[in-house]
This record gives sequence, C-alpha cells and structure tokens, in this order.
Amino acid sequence: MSMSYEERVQEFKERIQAGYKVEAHEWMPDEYRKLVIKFIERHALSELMGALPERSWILRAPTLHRKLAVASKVQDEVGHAQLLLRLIEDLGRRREDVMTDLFSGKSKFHNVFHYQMPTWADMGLFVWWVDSASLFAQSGLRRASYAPYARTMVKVCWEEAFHLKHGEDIVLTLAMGTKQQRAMLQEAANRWWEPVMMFFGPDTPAENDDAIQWGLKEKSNEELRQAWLTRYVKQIRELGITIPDPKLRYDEEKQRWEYTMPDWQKLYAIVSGHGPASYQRLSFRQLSYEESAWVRQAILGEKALVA
Amino acid sequence: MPIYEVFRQEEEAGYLRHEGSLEAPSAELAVHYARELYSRRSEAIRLWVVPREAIIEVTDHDFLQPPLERTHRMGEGYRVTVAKRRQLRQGAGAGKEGQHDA
Amino acid sequence: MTPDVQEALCRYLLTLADDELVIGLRDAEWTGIAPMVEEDVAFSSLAQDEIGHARLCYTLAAELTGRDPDHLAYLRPKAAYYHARVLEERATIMYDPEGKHSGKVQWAKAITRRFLYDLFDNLRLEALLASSYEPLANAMRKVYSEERYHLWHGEAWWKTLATSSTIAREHLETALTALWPGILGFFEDAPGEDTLQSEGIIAARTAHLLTPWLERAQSYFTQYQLSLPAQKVGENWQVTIEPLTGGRVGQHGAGWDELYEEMTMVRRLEPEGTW
Repeated sequence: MSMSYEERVQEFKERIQAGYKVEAHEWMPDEYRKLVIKFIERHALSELMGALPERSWILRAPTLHRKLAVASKVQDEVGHAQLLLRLIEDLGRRREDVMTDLFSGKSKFHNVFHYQMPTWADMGLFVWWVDSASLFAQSGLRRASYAPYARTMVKVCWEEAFHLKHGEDIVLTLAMGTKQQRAMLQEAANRWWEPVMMFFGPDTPAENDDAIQWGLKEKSNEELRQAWLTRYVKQIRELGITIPDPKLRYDEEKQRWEYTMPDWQKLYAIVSGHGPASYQRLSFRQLSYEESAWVRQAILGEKALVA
Repeated sequence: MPIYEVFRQEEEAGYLRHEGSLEAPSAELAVHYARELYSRRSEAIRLWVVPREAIIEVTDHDFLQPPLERTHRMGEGYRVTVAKRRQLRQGAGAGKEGQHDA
Repeated sequence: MTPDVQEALCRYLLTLADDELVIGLRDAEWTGIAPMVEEDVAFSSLAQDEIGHARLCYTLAAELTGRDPDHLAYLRPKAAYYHARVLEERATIMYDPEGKHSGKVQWAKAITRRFLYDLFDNLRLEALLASSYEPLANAMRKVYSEERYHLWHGEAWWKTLATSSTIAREHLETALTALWPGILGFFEDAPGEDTLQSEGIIAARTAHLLTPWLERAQSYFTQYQLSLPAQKVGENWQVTIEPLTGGRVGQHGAGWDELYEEMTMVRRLEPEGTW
C-alpha cells in the first residue's frame, strides 16, 4: 500500500505527537526538515553570538578564578555552537551558508545578544537570568522529536547548570558588596529586565506554535515565562534588587504573574538586526570570520569554507 | 573537512558511548578536538576517535528486526519448562526417584 | 631561606606567572572568534591552562610574601610586571561598542608565538622539575604534564601553516619576521637568577636556555625550510638579529598599556573588595 505524500506527512506527525523520535537518516517531511534546521540554526547562532558580549569580560574579570570561569563559560557556548552546527550539517546545511545568512541579516538569533554589556554587573546578571531562562526552555528540548538534537540538549543542559551558578555567584557577591557594587548591580537589573521578559517570546498559543506541533518544544512561551518568574522573582528580590516593573505581581486568583506587556514589535525589530548592538556585534563577527578565511582555505583547499 | 565520531568511556569496565562528532583537518587535531569537545571536564578515561567513513551504519528495519519468530534462541521461548515441571510433580508420567537408572 | 634568596625567588615566580598570565589573556581573546569552532574550543583551553599556571605561580609567590595571589596579579603598578614584551601584543580585533573595531586578525602570529613560547616554556619547566624548593618542583611537575599537549597542538598547526597553502606559508613567514626580536626577548634573566641557580632552585638561567631552545627548534625549521634568526658556527650559535628585551625589568610597549588597562579596570573599582 503506497501512501500519498500528504498521507505520509500526516502519519509522521501523528507518530511524533505520540512520542516517536526521529533520527538523521530517516525519511521526514520537507516541512519538518526545514523547521528542524531553522530551529537548531537559530539556537546555534544564539550560542555563537552569545559568546561575543561575554568574551569582552575575560580580560576584565576581577579575580583569577572569575577569569577562568568566564573563559570556560564562553568556551562552552562555542562548544554548544559546534554541536548544533554539526547537527544541521548532517541535515544538509553547510556551515558557510549559515555564516553567510547570519551576516546578511537573513538569520535571526535571540534578542538578548543584541544589547551592549557595559559593566561587570551586567555580565553576571545576564548569565544568571539568561542562562536560567534558557535552561527552562532547554530542559524540555531533551525530549525533542528530533533525536540527535534531544541528545545534544542533555549535554548542553548539564553544562548550563554550571553557567547559571557562576552567574548567580557573581551577582550574590555584588549584592553583598560595597555600595558602589550594589548600585552597579541595580543599574544592570534596570537594563536587563525587559530583554529577559522578551526573551521567552510572545504568548503564542500552542496550536499556533509549529515547534510544539512538531514535537520540538513542549511548553508554550508563556508557560516558560511564568515558570521562570515563579522560580526567580523571590530570589531576585532577596538580593535587594528592585525589579523595574511596577506592574509585576502574582495574581492568586488567576494563579499567574501579571506584568507590563513587552512591546512585541520592538522585539521583532531587535531580532531583525535593529538592536542597540546588533550591527556592532555582527560586524565584529563578520570581520573576524572574513579575515581568517585564508586559514579555512588552507585547511580545506581553495574550495570550501567552514565556520 | 573530514568528520570524526567520538566515543567515550567514563568509568572502569564501562561501555564506550557515542557522544557526537567533529570536523578536523587531520587525525592529530581530531584527537585534540575530541578531548576538548567531549572531555574538557575530564569526563573520559578513554576515547575512540573514528573517521565517519570507517563507520558502517545499519538501519534496515527488516534486517535488524526480522518478522519471523525466533523464540528458539531466547529465554522466553522456554517458559514451557515451567508448565512441564508442574505436570511432572502432579504425577502424570512420573516415576519414583531413581527409576530410570539402569 | 635568606632574604635575598627569597626576594630572587619571588621575582622569578612573578616573572613566570606574568609570562603565563599575559599569553593566557591574549590567547583567550580568540574565544568566540577563532577561524573554526572546533579550534576555538581547543585554543581556549590552552589559554585557560596558561591562566591556571599563572595562578599557581602567583600562589607560590603569595606564600612567600603573605600577599594574596589576586593582589599580585592585579594590583602591582604597570611597570612592575615582568613578562616578555612580545606576549602582550594583541593578535585579534578589538570590539568597539561604537562599531569602530580596531586591529587585524593575525592567526599565524598567535600560533607562531604560542608554539615558540611553548618550546621555551618546556625548557624552562625542565629546569625546575628538580628544584631544591619543594613547592616549586611539585607545582611545575603538574604544569609540565599539561604542557606536553600544548606542543602537540602547536606541531599540528605549525605543519599546517608551513605546508598547506602558499598564502598560509606567507602568513607564517611574515609572522616569524615580525616576532623574532620579541621571541628572543624570552631569554632575558630576571634579577637574581644566578643566586637561584647556586641555591639549586633553578637548574638553568633563562638566558642560558637560548642554546637548547635553538637546538630543539631547529628541526621544526629545517623540516619546513624555514629560517631561525641564528647561525651555528662550530658548536656555538650566533644570533643574527637584535632581541627586544626589557620585559624582565618592567619595560613594555603599547600592547601592555592596553592590556593592563583592560585587565585592571574592574578590579580598580574596588581594589580591596570582594568580587
């Protein structure tokens, strides 16, 4: 009995929704393949671009222990990018095309990496908030329908656990420090609250979220944001930090957090390359990439290029 | 650039497990990268770094999961021994102990 | 230990530590922007190793002086750092928040400097493995066992640069020409090394490592038809270019001005604070 393409797609989707896990060599609908590549690629680019704000702080880290911790954390991000790039290469997408689309602005990466990072407190807070937010999302990805990605997420989550502790340690130290250190921390919190709230994305219902329909994601954007707020608001306030959203409160009746709705148009503009540091970071990465082209060419012969 | 697959053993007498892959221009650098990517927290006591082309991937379902029953080579094919013992004890075809000698 | 021996040892330890810290920091700048992601992760570990070795040496110096290792690393005046000058030079682009990024991406410079430094560092470590100062001998044995792998990595890239393409080779030769004076600057003694040698704390003075270094480096050069800045005349080597010295007595260039500023800017906000 031979099925039509549409029938095969439907049957595949049902299997996925029943918990089936797909390997690289298997047949998959074009739509699924494209979605998986796009999803993983956005993740890979977020790791690659995520290294850039923090790497500036390796040299500036104020103790030898912190220097090693920051270097090792940034190294992990690059390591994650490597794992994810290999996954999409195995699906037929070349690294050099990933880089081309990154620099042309065609590909998007998470909003939080489009901002400046002006102080040490920014860096510590960023790591604590963004890595913990990512971990909420990534925990579910360990059960993603695309099995190579699910396996990779197990390793990534394990490493992220160290990251958020390292960020938290920096923040705690500042919160328990001098007046100047505490002031630096509060200013950083004022800058990063909105980006972190936007990070989870708008409240797209599960039925409209392709990534959920095809088994890549488990929870909706709003579920993740609510879970993060439940875990972290108390911890943040304990440090004496004032969260710069006067509307933020837990509604006991509705059993959910109320907050100032982020401007989703603004989020879209940022991830499309109009953030406060988008151009600066992309141009920096592009220059570094292009000026080392001769290295890749030497390794591969004149033809191919590699990230 | 050649792709290498990395297998990692984490404890004495443990199995080597596939952890992932990497690209490297040479076997020497592949070994170096394998340690950095898959054991930089000293997770490994042993690594196998294998060119992907050396791996033969077998995925044919009928080949690996043939449809005809093969219980003759599995323990569950021999549960009948439980029923047979029960029969023996209940006396059907049972002789006294030692009856079959010489 | 007499005061003058202690002073000489402390100065020597700071010199070691500063070399490792400075090359570690400059090499850590490749994290996130190396030519290939796999290499990015590997190179970052090499840099972190160096910073770890620096921390070990600052700790040894701290034990002698009663100061904190981080104090020694961060709070000395700019002219009281004793690393070789060539190590402070940046080989990457510097990120500018306004977008006016400066510098050039110099992978051949980074690899060449790293490899030739690792050859030097190996020889220096070998002269410390049997140090009469037990804590130093113990520490350096651990460092030595890690450094072996630095040379593996360096050898693989040395071969790649020397042989894989005309452009790569050109980059290598250009890097060598620019780096030679600074590389020869490794072989400058810290004050008091003769005292340390007579006490058996070091088996060889840094300046005396030049000949063994040339002997060891020679095969890597002749194998790929590259030239050393020295000629062998009978049993002796004659260096044919002027070394760039002064690092061991705190004389540095613009690269150090920039790096010292970056390195200390956060710490200086609260020098005695907890970070």
